[in-house]
Amino acid sequence: MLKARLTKMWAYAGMGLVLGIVIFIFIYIFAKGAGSIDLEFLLESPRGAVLGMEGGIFPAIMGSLAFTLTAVVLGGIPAVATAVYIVFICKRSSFENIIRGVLQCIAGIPSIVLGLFAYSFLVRDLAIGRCILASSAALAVMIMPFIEARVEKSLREIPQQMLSSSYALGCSRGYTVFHIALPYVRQEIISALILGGCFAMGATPPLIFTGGVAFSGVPQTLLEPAMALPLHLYLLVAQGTPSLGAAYGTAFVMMAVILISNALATFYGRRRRWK
Amino acid sequence: MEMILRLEKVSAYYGKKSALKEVSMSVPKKQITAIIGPSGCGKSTLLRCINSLLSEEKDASYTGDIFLGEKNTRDIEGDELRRRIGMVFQTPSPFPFSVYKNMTYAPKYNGVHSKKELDRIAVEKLKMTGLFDEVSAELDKSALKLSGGQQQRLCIARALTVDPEILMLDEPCSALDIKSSAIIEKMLAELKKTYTIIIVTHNLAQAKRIADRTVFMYDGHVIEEGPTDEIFGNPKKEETKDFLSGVFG
Amino acid sequence: MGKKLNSAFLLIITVLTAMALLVLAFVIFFIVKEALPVLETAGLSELLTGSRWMPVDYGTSGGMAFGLFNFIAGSVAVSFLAIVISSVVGLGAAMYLSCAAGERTRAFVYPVIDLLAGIPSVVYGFVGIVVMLPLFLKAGVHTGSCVLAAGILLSAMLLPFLVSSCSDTMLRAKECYMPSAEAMGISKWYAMATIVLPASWRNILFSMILAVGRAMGETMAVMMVIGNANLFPNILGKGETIASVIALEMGTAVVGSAHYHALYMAGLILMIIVFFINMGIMLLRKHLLNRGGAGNA
Repeated sequence: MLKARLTKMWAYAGMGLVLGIVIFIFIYIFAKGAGSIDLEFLLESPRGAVLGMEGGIFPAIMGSLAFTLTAVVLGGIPAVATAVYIVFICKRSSFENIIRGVLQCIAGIPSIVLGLFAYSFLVRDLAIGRCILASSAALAVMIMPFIEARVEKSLREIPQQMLSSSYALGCSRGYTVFHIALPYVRQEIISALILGGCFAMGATPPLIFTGGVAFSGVPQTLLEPAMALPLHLYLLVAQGTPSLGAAYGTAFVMMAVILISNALATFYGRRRRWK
Repeated sequence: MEMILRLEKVSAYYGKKSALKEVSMSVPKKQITAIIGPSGCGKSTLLRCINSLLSEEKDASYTGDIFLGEKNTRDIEGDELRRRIGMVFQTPSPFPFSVYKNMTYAPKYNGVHSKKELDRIAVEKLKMTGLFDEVSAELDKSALKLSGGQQQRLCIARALTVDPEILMLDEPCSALDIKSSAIIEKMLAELKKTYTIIIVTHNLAQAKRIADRTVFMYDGHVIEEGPTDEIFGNPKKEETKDFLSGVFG
Repeated sequence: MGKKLNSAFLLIITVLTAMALLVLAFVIFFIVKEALPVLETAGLSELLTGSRWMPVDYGTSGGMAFGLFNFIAGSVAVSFLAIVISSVVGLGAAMYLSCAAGERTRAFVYPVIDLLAGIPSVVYGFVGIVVMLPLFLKAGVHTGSCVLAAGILLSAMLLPFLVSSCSDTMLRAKECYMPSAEAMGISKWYAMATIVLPASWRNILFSMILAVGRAMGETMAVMMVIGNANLFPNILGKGETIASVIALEMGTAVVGSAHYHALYMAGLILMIIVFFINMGIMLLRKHLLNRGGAGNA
């Protein structure tokens, strides 16, 4: 019976620790960061002898928004298309395996190497310069396998007989996918895109050499560099004590975004029956 | 007796695994043909060959010829073929829309857009399956809210919306209670005035009750086919006798 | 929708997929292409086993050297530490979720644990710096930065993946064996320890190995607390990982120089390790599945 008791202790301790970590990180950041958050912090540019001592993070918020949205568009559309292709169109397992191998390989590329790629190929070889588009391309490649896997999983969970019923009525694949499959998983797709967006928003490495900068205004086009929240946080931390307050504030904003997005994604991801 | 469907040496494969072995049989027009046999004997695969649904599946294929009337089904496009041969599945699978949208889904695909015509089709086919009186007040209700038996009848009505010549049912009653099954059996007896019906069933009593003709399959082969009375009353093959007397299956 | 629209839809999907695949394949090709030139300056054996890293010739004795050994060892050490810590904690949580928690608790706890996966790694690094490093400093670790700190941070980041995959496995094993165990009057925790856990160990091991792959590529959090010194990793000493070398040095590497190509090679090595881990596990799973491997598929 000792075995049983030890296992039980292990289980409760593990669960407690995991929840403890989650709660600790969020409470810590929210408690420490709350003091820095006010309208000025959210709506003004960083200032001060050491950047970030005064002012706010408005350009970084807008920059992150630009990076993330561009990445979700660039990565999300091919991800959904690939998932539909694998599940509904591809008829040969061998071809499916090739696609899977490539996706697997891409998912294995560390994000820093993707940043490297975007820098060498887009910024330098194609000479589009350091800009949002270059970073977002790297982010898009990073989140594409992530979104694809989620969408593919939800497509596979559609009851097979429902699809067969549509085929059996003489309706084509295109019509079936468009009118049955995609509406059926619409919420899961939204959820996958939100989580993919979170993933992109929090990633720093792909921005370092490509389109993320320490200071700039609010970006007007995708062809100029911009500030981003995670990069800003990294630089504030690297500067040390003078800008620590702003660092807590920046972390606060990011954690709030994560919390809200995750709540939304969970809400959407839950299978809800059509009423 | 006019045969509407004829199969000649049809074999089917999932990857390298063979599921049907040189099946030959024929189906008479405007009658009910039951296909019986132990599970895994290839009954469902056979249906999927007939309306070429098999070719929608990964790594699946079939050889041999199937004739619909005089025409080889390989010369008919998949969509067209499946419009002419309807199919209903084991578990009721209404689309997650309203009853009305379920009924107009396929007609819309085929280019029917006038509200009047769509209404006419929906009402007519719902009446055929006896569902109209039960749901006429709630055509906008989600089809998922109907009872299991109603859902299955909706699926049958839905299959009829494209006016198929043949209606295939793959164990349509196995997920239903006795009462719902009885309603469906009665309805099928009505429907055979208009349509040719092929029903796969593992319920021998059901086959005996409703089928004009019965086909016994075992291990991918058609062992015996003939009028239902003969198959049940005087089976010629050992396997058929054993199966009917409950030795296996 | 007519036939034309249908084929147009299929065409669009196919073209998009093909484009995506070409782009992804090009990314892989490009990285390989940029990595290979370094072999003209340094042999593969020097890259993999050398520990001297002198990417720019400052005229010091010995000239340039491109030994990645310490970095590779750093990446492996940090990942390994993280997996060990994360597994101990994560397995406990997975046991709780699969055995003690009901459907509703699980539906609530999973999204909460998933939050850990959503936290940006730079925030982990930040928390590590302001919370953990002072503790290590107090404990006598010089500057507080060390391999262990990185391992602990990384272990928290791996928890969501480990918990969800392990609890899935254990839930399946539980559903398979628990009813008969309970019918014999065995308590559920005893059955957990003696039946469910042993029946799931293989899949748990797979998840752990897959987690190594995820851990290897992590950049920011590790870089912020590991100290970044080219040393052989020691649990309370500083170290440096492949990912942090790339992040720290790419900004100063002259394009086209041996240094530049060496950083690409570092990235490629990391990529290959992760790829082989993922592929290996996938093939192993398939192989075991084909053999009809025991009821814990």
